[in-house]
Parts: sequence; structure tokens; C-alpha cells
Amino acid sequence: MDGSVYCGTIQRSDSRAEETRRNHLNEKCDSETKTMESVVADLFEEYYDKVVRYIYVRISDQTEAEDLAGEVFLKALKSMGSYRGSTAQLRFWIFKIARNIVIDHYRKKGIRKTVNIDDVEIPDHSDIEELAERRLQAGELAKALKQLTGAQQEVIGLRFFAGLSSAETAQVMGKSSGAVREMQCDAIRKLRTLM
Amino acid sequence: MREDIEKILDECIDRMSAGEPLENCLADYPEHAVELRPLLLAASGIKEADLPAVSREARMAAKLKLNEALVNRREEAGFMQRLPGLFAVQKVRAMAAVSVLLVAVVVGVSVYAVAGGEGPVTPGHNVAVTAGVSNFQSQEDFVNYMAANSQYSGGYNDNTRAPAGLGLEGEWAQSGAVPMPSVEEKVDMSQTYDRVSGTNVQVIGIDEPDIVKTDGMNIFFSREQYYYYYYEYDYPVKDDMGTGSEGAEWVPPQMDNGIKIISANPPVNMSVVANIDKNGDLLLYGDTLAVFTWEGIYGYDVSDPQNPVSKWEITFDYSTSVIAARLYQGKIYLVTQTWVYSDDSLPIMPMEVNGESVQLKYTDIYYPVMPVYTDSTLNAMVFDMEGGVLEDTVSFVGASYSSTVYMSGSAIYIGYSYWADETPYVIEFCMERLQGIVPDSIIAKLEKLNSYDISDAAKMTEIGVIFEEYLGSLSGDEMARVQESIGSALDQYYAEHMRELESTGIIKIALDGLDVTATGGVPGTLLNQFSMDEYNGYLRVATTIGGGLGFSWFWASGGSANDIYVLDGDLNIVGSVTDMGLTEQIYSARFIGDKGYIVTFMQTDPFYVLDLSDPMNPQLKGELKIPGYSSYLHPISVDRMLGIGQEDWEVKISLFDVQNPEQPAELDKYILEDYWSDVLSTHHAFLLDEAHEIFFLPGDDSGYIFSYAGNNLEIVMEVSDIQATRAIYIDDNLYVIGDEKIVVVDELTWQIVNEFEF
Repeated sequence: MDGSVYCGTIQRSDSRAEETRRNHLNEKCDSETKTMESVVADLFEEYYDKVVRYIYVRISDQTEAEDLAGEVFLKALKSMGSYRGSTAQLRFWIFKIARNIVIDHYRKKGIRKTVNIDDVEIPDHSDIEELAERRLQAGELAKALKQLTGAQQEVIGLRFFAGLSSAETAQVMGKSSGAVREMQCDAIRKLRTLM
Repeated sequence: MREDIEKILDECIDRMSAGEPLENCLADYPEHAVELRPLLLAASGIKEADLPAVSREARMAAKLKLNEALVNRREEAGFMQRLPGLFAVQKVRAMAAVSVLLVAVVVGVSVYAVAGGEGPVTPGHNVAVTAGVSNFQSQEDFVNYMAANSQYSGGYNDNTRAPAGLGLEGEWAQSGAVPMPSVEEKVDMSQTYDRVSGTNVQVIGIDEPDIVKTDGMNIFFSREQYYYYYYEYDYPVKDDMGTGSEGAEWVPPQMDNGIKIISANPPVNMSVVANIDKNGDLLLYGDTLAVFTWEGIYGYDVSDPQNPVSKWEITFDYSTSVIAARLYQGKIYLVTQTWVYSDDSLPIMPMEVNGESVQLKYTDIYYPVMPVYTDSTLNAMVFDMEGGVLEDTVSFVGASYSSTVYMSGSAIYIGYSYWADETPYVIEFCMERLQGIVPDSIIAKLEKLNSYDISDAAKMTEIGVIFEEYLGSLSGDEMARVQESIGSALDQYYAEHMRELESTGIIKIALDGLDVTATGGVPGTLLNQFSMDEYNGYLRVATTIGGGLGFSWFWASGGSANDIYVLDGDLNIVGSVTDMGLTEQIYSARFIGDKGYIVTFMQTDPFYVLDLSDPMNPQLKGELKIPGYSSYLHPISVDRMLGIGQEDWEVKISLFDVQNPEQPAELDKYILEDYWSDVLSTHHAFLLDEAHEIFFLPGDDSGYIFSYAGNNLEIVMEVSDIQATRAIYIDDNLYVIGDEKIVVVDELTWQIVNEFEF
């Protein structure tokens, strides 16, 4: 729409004069404000690791998770222009993109859950206190997570590794907060028996 | 009970994340402690799980890739987004310390670029291949198409295949409203005025949203919004996780004052009669006011201006944005874009109308049979302005690059730019154009490489390696010489191929029935809505190719050129004038009847006049070179054209005589001391009042009223201290509208009638 001025080059202008002016303004803007692009750069700094962890929880492959996490931010940069949410929502928007990239990853690779229940070691130590003291190994968690439904995995990934609230998790997944809490509870119960 | 546990567990997980010990939580819920304890211990175990550490290298590689994308984006270069491996060579030399990583990053990009395509475009073949267009039959159809033609890898996949020169069966509609400039539009209301201005639009009778509308009695004004996105540190942001980390905030559009409804006629007695708590562009039809905000479109009944009543609302999904809107015969024609990133975003529900989700039918989504890069749908929709009822919708798969919309009385034309994959061109260049520039041994290596049956991406990587080794073996002087030679060979090669690399796809949607009736394409990119125009059934299109960027690799300076294309009703190119303003870019375009006018700019302002009376044989008739540029052209009579632009960073107004197309002349020019006029960014800020032979334009602060009588440009009046944005007229009163006041001037005496502050 007409009549907007931004510090940044979110969208190509309809007017070369406007572009020239914007470039002019940007010299000033750069010193005082941040452009949308740099918002993405800052999001990267803050969330890259969390995105990697979230994706890892979903796909159990660290190298792949790192690659896909990079894609998340490139995608975010690309679609920043169409982002219409508030600043506070940026965080779960990033995870929404991550979620879509994971879904797409599965679709492209045709990956299905292939882990057989027999492959999952049910640990014989049932002492829960002992479990808490001992750090779970990544492999153990990954195996256990595979026994969860995709949605449960997601809840765990978003709540525990992305650091989203259940309300934010609900928004990312397009579910109600109640449904997220329920899945979270079920997932923890199940993981407890598996770990 | 179960719900209780779920809620408590959720709360406790949050509290523990914030650092509270488990025991605190259990103490607060003693009745659930037995059940909670193991769950919380498990939760804590999960949270503390020893996940693999994120590798520093991966983080750095991702960061470099993102930086690269950021830089490319800033440079706004379509080409720059697909840097082939060769480009890395240049950077490696400058930044030896990170050479390995950079090469890896760029190579990675190339891989993505190739991964999404069906196969390489063969260089040397015109990309405008004729193909068909079809619509999807099901969600599965749609998903398969999107999967084959998009790559959710961060926007690097721009392997656009051929633009469609898609001939379609079916009639193209006859031009209804002949495109011609006009500012006058009679509004049929209780007649206590004889004449009233409308927004300065491209096509008479087709209104465009703007910040000011009037019904002849009232002025509806939404103060212009400035979107300065601040990102301040040390600003506390409420954080659900309670981490309270360093915060960030964009300063949102200034929404403080909303829309003012101002009783304005008679002008001596003005008052704000109501406010609407929204900001944005407006459309007015009868008693309905539509407000276009970032979030949606809101309809108000303003039959009683003192009590605007909300009538309907259209709210957008976060992945949907408005590209353009028009009002024509009581209907809002809305063009939106919805980003479709994966099948998770299906079904496509771009918006809610009065609380009900609109779901696109797959059978209403068209796609070209010849695949094009796709990551979104472009949607054309018709709403009844009075009821806000969605009457029809049609979509077309497209790319989320810049889109330009032009609407005639018979059709909506949506132009979207896209770029071909450069990779095959780079390979062809290396194979065919480097003899005599690099040693035969390098040529032999390249040829051997090319004979391998490997992907283009892999070839690009290897070419990068070959050049890196070769250039690394040269002395500084030799390297500079080789670089220069390659650069000039590349410039030559680019000039031969630039029209294949950069294209605009055009979709034609007939207003009658709202169907895609044709799709086509032209080389180059469009500047704005004035770059397209329909006349006697033909579409005329002005494009810039190259934009001064050229190939993004090596040391080519690139080139640019500007073309005019004439397309028939099926959007087949039937005529063209090419290569105007080499090395320059189009700054403005205007088509009036059978003439076309374009202004290109680099240092001087060539003003071109084209004769388009024979669509098959358009001709460049005349050219005028003057300093500065015009970024808006407005015809004020059959043989006079106004150009508004800049010269030496000051606002310039030129009056052109176009009576003799072969010899356009600048009859007069006026340079304001102001740096900026909103006319330079939107034609809506301009107002012509032919009855008094005057026009208005806002400056840095003042509103200027110019006379063009007798072919002389003269300031009739300067309304200062107003932050002028727009002007309207009602009868012989000109209302100069500023951010906080309106100054009404009697056009017969040029005396101020009223100064109304609000």
C-alpha cells in the first residue's frame, strides 16, 4: 500500500525515486534502527541452537538438523516481507517455519517411522531418582522419542528444546493449548516408561 | 482431574525451566504430589538430556549463508540470489582466512539452486515457450505440483523454467474503460456541490485505495503511516518463559489518531464528526468506506458520518498479503499473495470474511503446464463493497517476488518477476568464450569436466575449483588482466542472453467471470502499475532488463536495456521496441491512447516517445535528453505531458510538448528547493484541476499549487507549515490536506477560506 516508509528494503519499491530516497534514509536508519533483515540476523543469533535442537528431536540426525536449521533462517529472511505478526510472535513464527521444514523433510525423503519396538531398549533401572541424576544420552532420548506420535514429539521439541510456552506451542502446531498440555502429559508418561 | 494434572504439570515445567526447584512445585500441589513427582522428574530428565552440541562449524556455515543472503537481498539483485560457485573465487582471494567455508557455502547454494528444477534450460534458446495452462483437480495434484516446482530451502531455488507464453482458448474481453488519465469522478450523493475530485488513478472509473477520500461533503482521512522499525536493546519484553532476555521492539505504525471523518462542505464550517480506530488506505463507494490495514480490510457504513458503523471485515492469514486493490462498479477487486511453504499450509485459507475462513478450491487454482518456480498463490478476488461478500476467487501459482497489478475495465493483469537459473549459462560461457583468455590447458580441463555426466551443480563446483587454482597461480598483474578479459567477455555474453535470464510472467484474469484467460511473459521486470496498459485489446508493457546488475559472477559490469512489448489478447508478443536507454533503467512509463512515453535514467533523463498505433510494428519516434529524471508522468492534455521527478536532489517539474512525437520538447521546467514530493512515490499525491489549469503537489512540508496556463509553470500558491500530503477539490475550493490541518483555498481568488486544525 502506498504511503509507507520503512527503514529497510523489505519489498521492492514501485518507484525508483522512492528507492533512491530509501537508500538515502537507510544510511541514517542503519545507525539508529534495524532493518527487518537484521531482525532475522538477530533471530539467528538467538534461536539457531534451539532450532537445531528442536529439529534434532524430530529427526534424530544432528548433521541434518544443523543443515535444516540454516534453511529455517533463510526461509525466514525470504518471507520476512510477508510477516504480519508482532515482534513477540517472531519466535514461534521461526519454529513454525522449522516445523514446516521438518514436515517437508519427511515428505521429501519419504521417511517413515521405521524403528521397531524391539530395537528400543527398555532400561532395567526403574529407579526414577537414579534417572534424574544421570544425564540421558542423546541416543536414548532419540530412540524413546521415536515411540511417540509425531505430534507428541513436536510438543516435546517445542516445549523442552525450543523453549516455547504451551500457548506458543499450540500456535505453532495449530492446536488448542489444552490439546498441547494433554499431549505433553501423555508424552512424558510414555517417555518415563521408556527411559 | 486429568485436566488438572495436565495444567499443573505444564505450570511446573515452566517454573522449573525458570529455575525453581521441583520441590516448590510439589509443595504447592500436595494433593497431586505423588502423581506429579515422577512426571516432573522425567520432564527434568528430558530437559537435561545430553543432546549433541551444535557444531561451531555448522553454525558458522549457516551464518555465512545467511549473511550472503542478507547481502544479496540488500543489493536487491535477482541474480545475486543464485551466486554460482565462481563468485566465490573473487571473495576467496580477498578473504583467505575463511576461504574454505565461503566456497562451501556458495557451492551449497548452487546445489539448492539446481535441486528444485526439472532440468537445465538450454542457453541460446528463447525461454518464451508456448505452453498450456490448467487448473488443479485435487489437493494431491496441488501438492505434487508444488513439490516439483518449489524447494523449501530458503529461497535459493529460483530455477525458473520457461515463462509461459501460454496461449489460451477463450475470448479476451473487450476493453471497457479505456485507460486514460483522469482525476475527476463524480460521486452521486446529495448534490450540494457541482464537482468533486477523486483520487488520481491510472484508469478512469477504476478507483484505487488511498489515504484520502471524499464524498463531496465529508473528507475521510487516514494520516499517512510511517513504518520505522526500531529494534532497541535494553527494552524489556514480556516473555512467557520468564527469561526476560534483551528485548526488541518494532515501533508499530502510528495508530494514535485513526481515521478522521471531517465535515468539509461548506468549507467555512469544518469539524471532525467521527473517528475510526484504524489506519490505512481507503476506498469509498456510496455509503461504504473500506479501510485497508495490514491485518485486513474493514467495511463501515458511513451513511451517517457521525456514526460510522462496522459492516464487514476481512482478516488475512499471516502468510497472506495484499498486492493491490481496485474499486470498479461497486466491487472490490483484490489481489493477494499467499505463501505456501509446504503441504502443512493446506488447505489454503488466505483470509477470514466476517469470521468465516475462506478456503481456496483447488479447481480454482491455475498453473502453467510448463513448470515455473512456485512458492505461493496469487489470488484475485471480488468482493461486493457494500456487503463485504466474497463473490468469486481465482488463483494462480506464482513466486513471491515482486508482483505488479494493473487493472483495465475488462481484466486484471498480474505481472510477477522471476529469474532463470544462471548455471547452464555459466557453463556455456566457460565452454565457449574463454579461448584466448585462459590457457588451453584450462580450457581442456573445462571441456573434460563438461563431458562428465554429472549435475550442473557439481560442474559449477568443479569450475570454481579449476578457476581458484588457476587464478591462485597467477601474479597480481596477470590476475587483474585475466579478470578484466573475462569480465568483458562476460559482458558481451550477458548482453546476448540477458533477455532469457530475467522475465516477467503475466497472468490475465477477465473481470467477467473472474477466470484466468491467458498467461504470457516478457523479458525484464516491471517498474509499477503504469508499466502495463491495455488499449484496443492489446497489452503494452514497459520493462527494464538487467537493472545494471548483469551476471553476478566474475568481474562483469553487466548492462541494462529497456524494452516495450505489445501483446495480443492471448498475451503473445506481437511487437516490440528494444534497447532503449542502454545502461539505464525505467523511472516512469505512461501509455496514452496509441502513444507510449517512458523515462529512463542514469545521469540524464531521456524522454522517449513511442508510436504504438500499429501493435505489430511499434516504433520509437522521438527522444529528448535533459538533466534529472521524471518518476511520474501525467498527461494534462492531448499534447502536453507533465513529468515530476528530481534533478540534483531537488524536486523538478517538467512540461513536455508531445504534439510532434518525433520532436518532444521541454516547454518549461520548475525546480523546487524541496528535496522530496510524495508524488515521487505515489501518483495519488498528485491532483490536476483542469478547470483552473492548475495542479497540486506536496513538497517536503508545503503544498504547492502550480499553474500550467499558457505553457508556463508558475507557483500560484504555496501553503506552508502543513506537512502536506494530498489535495482535493469540491466545487471551486481546493482543500490542501496536511497531517494535522486542512487549508481551504478559493480557486477563483486564491485566498484562504479556512484553516482547520484537527
